[in-house]
Amino acid sequence: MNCEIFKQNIAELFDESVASGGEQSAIQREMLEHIETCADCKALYEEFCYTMDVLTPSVNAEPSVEFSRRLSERIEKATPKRKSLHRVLYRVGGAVASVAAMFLVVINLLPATPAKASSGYFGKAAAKLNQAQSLFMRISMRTMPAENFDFLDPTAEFVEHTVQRVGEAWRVDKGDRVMFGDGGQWWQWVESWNNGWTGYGVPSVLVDLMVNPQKLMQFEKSLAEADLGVIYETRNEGGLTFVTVTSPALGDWLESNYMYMSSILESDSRREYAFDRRTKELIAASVYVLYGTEEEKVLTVDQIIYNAPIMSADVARLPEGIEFVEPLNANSGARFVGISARQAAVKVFEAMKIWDVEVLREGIPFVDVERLRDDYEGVTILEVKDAVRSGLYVGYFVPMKVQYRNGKSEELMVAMRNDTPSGGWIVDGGI
Amino acid sequence: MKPERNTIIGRWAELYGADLYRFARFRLGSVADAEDAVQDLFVRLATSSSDLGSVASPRSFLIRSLRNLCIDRLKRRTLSTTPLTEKMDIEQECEAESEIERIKVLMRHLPEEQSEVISMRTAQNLSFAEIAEILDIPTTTVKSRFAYGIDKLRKMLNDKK
Repeated sequence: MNCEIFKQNIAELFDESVASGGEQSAIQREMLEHIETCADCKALYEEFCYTMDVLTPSVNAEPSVEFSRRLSERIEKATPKRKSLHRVLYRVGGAVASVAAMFLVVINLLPATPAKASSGYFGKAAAKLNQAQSLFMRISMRTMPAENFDFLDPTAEFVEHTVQRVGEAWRVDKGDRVMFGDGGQWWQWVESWNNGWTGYGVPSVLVDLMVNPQKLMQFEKSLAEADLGVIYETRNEGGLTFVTVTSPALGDWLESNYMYMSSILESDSRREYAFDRRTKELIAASVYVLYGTEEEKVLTVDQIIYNAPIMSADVARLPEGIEFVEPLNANSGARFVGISARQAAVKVFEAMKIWDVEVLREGIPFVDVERLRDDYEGVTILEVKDAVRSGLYVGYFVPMKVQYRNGKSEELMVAMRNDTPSGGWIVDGGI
Repeated sequence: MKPERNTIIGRWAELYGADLYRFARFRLGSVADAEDAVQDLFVRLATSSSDLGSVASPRSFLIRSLRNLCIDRLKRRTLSTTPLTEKMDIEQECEAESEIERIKVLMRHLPEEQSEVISMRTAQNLSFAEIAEILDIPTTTVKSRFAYGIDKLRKMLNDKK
């Protein structure tokens, strides 16, 4: 080893093995021996060491404690996931208020910009749908036959929905779950559960859009005119005009992505509409949810019959043997007024522990609480976190960890809402 | 997407997330940009169709991918940089608020190819072999870039003593 070779190879002494005190190579050993006898090379080596010290951060730039959580959430959001069925089993149209508000915001804040070409198709199609005396539609969606109508599961099979509308009356049937309305009141039931509910207003965002597709057309028209960064493409083919809309998931995602991809509006989506070029009628539609650059078709409108011969009596037919309860009555949530969603969730689970039926009936109005008894009686709360908002859901989600009496523990996101007649909280899902 | 893909990505995030953050933090400067770049990397992996199961050296693979993302971000960024000259006061430069800023100020005296190798060795504690794999260059080139860069800064620091 001479000084020239030492200088040529000095980097060898700064590789990981030497720096970390690991096994040395032959040349590294020779170089270390050389500096024991050569003052010049030793000085050079020490100056290199000093320079390395200057360039090595004395304090590592460690990520914040929140970094891992945020990273996990981003990965989870980007990754298609299968939401467990019982998470939203009892959710009945919870997103309505938020979506209605969102529509209003979009419509009211339209800037005075020229309407895009696409908005013309939507506007004319809305008028045609509005003018129809009756409508019959076949719609296929990836979901479960008994699940609430808004529930979307991109990994599930397609479930056919038939939609009928005549005058003020309407009916949507997805096999196990059926709903009809008379313009004021609605009735909904799941035959396999032998459960029925009734109420007033708009019970489901998707049902509202299925029964009143003109609202969807108006919404798309408003989006197109508002120029909110949504991407539009049009093409003509075989007497049809296709308009494709690519838009991001709607909703509040700052606190939690729990509801991301749980419904079409809460998904990044591409929506393709086919219009008859002559009549301007909407004749078909497809909806895809997007996973980054990949996509999955989740809904198709396969058939639309305008002015179909539909009898009002067939639309307003109720099943036999199902008792309809009005979940949101004056008592709903009455014992849960003036407290937070988190406190209300705790109160419900404490009532489950001792199985206080009176409290549970008020706190979980959408279901016969006796159906829950086998699973939840004796449950113990292990952990409760602050309530969070997610997506378009009108209420809050309370993250909880509970232990059942068989010793098993489970993490839950308990959906709580207080848009009840009493203003008190009720459990809307997540159990 | 296959379930095992989710598992792989989650595991990589757990094992290498902090390392990747440090890499991006050093390259991009700000905490927000660094976090964003790392999240962007994993989101791209989650939505891509590449076969992650066949990646032999995940750490190098991730750093190489992140490096490309950082380069893209730096290209897009509009910086009002003032070239530093040999005459600048090293002492003054070293008063930079953060440790990272202080080192980055020094590194600006070097060509990018040399400062990149040195920061990978010092801030990320990568071996020369790992750096070579990430940059797709021979290990001998890594060592020579490292030696030239350190030698230049050594002389600068000596001049200011």
